[in-house]
Amino acid sequence: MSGGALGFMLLAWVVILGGVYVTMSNLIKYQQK
Amino acid sequence: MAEGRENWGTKLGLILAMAGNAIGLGNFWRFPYQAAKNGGGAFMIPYFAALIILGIPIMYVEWMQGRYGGKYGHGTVGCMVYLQSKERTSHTTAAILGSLVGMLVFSVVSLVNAYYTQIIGWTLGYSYLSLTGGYMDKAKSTGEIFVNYIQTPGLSITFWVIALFLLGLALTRGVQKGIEAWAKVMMPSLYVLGFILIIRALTLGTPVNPDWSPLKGLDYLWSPHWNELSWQSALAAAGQIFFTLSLGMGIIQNYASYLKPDDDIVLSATATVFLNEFAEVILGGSIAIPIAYTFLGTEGIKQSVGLSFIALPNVFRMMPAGQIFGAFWFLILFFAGFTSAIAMYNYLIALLEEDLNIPRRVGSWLIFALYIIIGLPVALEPVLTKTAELVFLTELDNWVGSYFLVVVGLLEVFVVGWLFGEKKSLEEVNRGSYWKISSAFFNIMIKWVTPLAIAILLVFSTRSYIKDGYFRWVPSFVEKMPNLVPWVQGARLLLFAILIIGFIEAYTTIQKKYGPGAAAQKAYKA
Repeated sequence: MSGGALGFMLLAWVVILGGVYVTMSNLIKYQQK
Repeated sequence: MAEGRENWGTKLGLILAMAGNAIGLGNFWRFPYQAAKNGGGAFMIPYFAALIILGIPIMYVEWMQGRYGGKYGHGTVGCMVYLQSKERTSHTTAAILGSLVGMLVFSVVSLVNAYYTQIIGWTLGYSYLSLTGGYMDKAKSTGEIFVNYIQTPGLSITFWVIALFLLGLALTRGVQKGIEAWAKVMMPSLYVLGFILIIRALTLGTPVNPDWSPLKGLDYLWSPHWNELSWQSALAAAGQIFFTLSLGMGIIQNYASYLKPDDDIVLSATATVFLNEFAEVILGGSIAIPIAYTFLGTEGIKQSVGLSFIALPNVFRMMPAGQIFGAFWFLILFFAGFTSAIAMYNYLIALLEEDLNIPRRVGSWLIFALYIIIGLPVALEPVLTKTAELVFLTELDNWVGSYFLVVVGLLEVFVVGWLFGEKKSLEEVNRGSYWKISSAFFNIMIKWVTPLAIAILLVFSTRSYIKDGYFRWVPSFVEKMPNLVPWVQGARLLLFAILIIGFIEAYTTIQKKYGPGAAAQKAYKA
C-alpha cells in the first residue's frame, strides 16, 4: 500500500474513530447526569 | 402539547434506531464505488468538507425540527415546517411552504421505499441463496444468475413481500417494541458481521494473482488521484453525504418527534453522524473493494449495484467457506436496508395515525398494501420485458431518491435559519442538550454557509440533469430502448399522482389543524 493511500485511510479512520469515542463517552456521561 | 404520544424507551435504543435510520445500503455499496470513481483518497477532502458544511448542520436542523413538531403531536414534516414558518410569515405562506415540503417528503417515503424494499428483498433472497448454494454453480455466470433472479417472480417478488411483511409486522408494535427493539438486535449484528468480514477480507492473501491482494484493493480505493478531483467529484461527495445520512427525507424528523421535549439533541445527533461514518468509511470501505480486488482485480470493482450482486457472489464461489461469508455480506446489507426502510414506512404510519386518525395496527397493513401496489411495476418490469435495465426504478431514483432530497434540505434549512429565527432555534435545539450550539454557528452555518452550499449543489445538479437528458420527454438512458419508454412515462405519471396527493394531504391537514378556528391552533398559541 502506498504512503499516500495509507495516510489518507489512517487520517479518515482516526477522525471517525475519534468522533465515535468522544460522542459515545459524552453520551455515557450525559446518561449518568 | 401532545398527549399520549409514544417516546423512545432508552437512550441506547434511540441512538441505535437513529444510526440504523441513517446507515443504509448506500454505506456499503455506494460509498466505495463513489470514492474509487472520484479520486480515491482525494475524494475524502470534499467528502469531509461536505460532512461539516452540509451533513452536521442539516442533521441538527432535522433533529430540532422533529422534536419541536413532536411537542405538538406531529411526526410528519408538513405541519413542522408550517409551525416554524408561521413565526415570520402569514398563515397562507406558511401553509404553502409546509405543504410543499410535506408533498416532497411524502413522495420520497412512498416511492423510494417502494423500490428500496425490493432491493432489501434481493439482499434477503441472496442471503438465502448464499446459504443454500444458489449461486455456487460455476457453469452459470453470476450476472446470469442475478438477471434470472429479478426476472423470476417466485424469487424476487416472494422475498420482497417477506421483507415488507417483516417491516409491517415490526411496525404494528410501535416505536419502543417495534423500531427500537429491532434496531437493538440488527445494529449490533451489523457491526459484528462487518468486523468478521473485515478480518476475513484483510487475511485473504493472494489466492488468484500475486498482484491482486486486499491491501492493493485498499490502495486502489485510498490512493489520492488529484487529477480526478473536480467540481464533479465535489458534487458526488455532497450527494453522498445527503444520501448516506438520510437527509432531506423527513425520516430523521419523524424519529426525533418521538423524543421527550427536554431530550438531548446536539450530542445525540453528532453521535448518529459518527456511527454512520464508521459504518460507511471503515466498514463499507474495507469489505467489498478489498474482497473483489483480491479475486477479480480492477475489473471486478468497476461496478456499483453489480459489485454486490454480481462481482461479490463470483468471489464467494471461489472463497473457502464462501457460502457463510456470502450470507454474512448479504445479511449486513439486509440489516442496513431494513433499519432505514422501517423509518420511511413509519413516516407513513404516523401520517395515517395523526392526520387521519387510523390506528397504528391498521395503518401498518394499509401501508403494506400501498407499497405492494406502487412497488409492483418495479418488480414486474424485468419479469414482463425480460430485460434487466430497471428503468422504472432508475427514473424514480433520479428524481425522488436524489434530486428531491436536496430541494427538501434547502427548504428546511431556509425555514429554520430565516423564518424560525436565531432566538427560537437556539432555544429549541439547546434545551436539554448536553452540548450546545453557539449563536456564531447558527449565524454562519445555518443561515448562510449551509443553504448557500445546498443551493450551489442544486444548481450544479440541475445543470448535470439537463446535460444528461433527464428533463427530456424520453430521457437519455432509455433513448435506445423504445420498448422501455412506457415504463419511464409510467414512473413519471405515478410520481405526479403521488405529488398531487402529497400536497393535498399536507395542505388539508394544516388547514384542519391550524386553519381559522381550528382547535390545534388554540393549543399551539397557548
